[in-house]
Amino acid sequence: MNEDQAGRQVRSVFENELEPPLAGFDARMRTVLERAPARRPGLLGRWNWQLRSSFS
Amino acid sequence: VASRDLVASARGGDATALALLLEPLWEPAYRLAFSMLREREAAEDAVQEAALKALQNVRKLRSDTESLRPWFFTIVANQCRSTRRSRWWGVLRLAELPYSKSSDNTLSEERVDLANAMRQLPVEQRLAIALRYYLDLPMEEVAEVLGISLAAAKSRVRRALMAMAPALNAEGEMG
Repeated sequence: MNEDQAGRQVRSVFENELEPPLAGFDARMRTVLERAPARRPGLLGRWNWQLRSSFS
Repeated sequence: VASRDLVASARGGDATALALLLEPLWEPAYRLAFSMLREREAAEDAVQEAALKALQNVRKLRSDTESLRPWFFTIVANQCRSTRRSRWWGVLRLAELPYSKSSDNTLSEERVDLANAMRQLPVEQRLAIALRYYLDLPMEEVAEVLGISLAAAKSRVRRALMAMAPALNAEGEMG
């Protein structure tokens, strides 16, 4: 078996295992970046925790 | 290929510019995270954390950066490693069962063997084959994301394929 054949089989297993992200994932990631208080790293962790809580 | 102007804006702290640069990478980054974590919520969280780390570190990008992909995938992979080291991860994973040929009817019998072989790989080998075969990265970029030499990356992928060889061969014989 050559590498291409092996790679196709491996890929098919990864694809079969995949659970898609929730709808709106891309938009959510964009929002995360645009709203993040990036210049204030001390606040970032707390803000991120609050944001994740709001999504769950 | 990233626009130099956008990279310059992102390096200057413009989160919107960074978001535009990362836009084509959200979906493959999620697939990368899922391949390492195999849990939707954990994979989404890992990409979100990685995005924030990217924002914190964007100033370190070289001004002549042409693609953010290896840089961002490195951050995503590191975040997934961190998740897997966390206190709760081992507890959650204890409940994970191997694929069953009788109960999992979404996979052919041969693919069940391969899926189980892939689950048994060390995580760094699983990451290497995900980058190479699932995300179709050139081997040079696989090495960059893994933070190892090109020769070491090739060797890691080869070792993973050898470990899975019985399952791959069985499937190959089925045509």
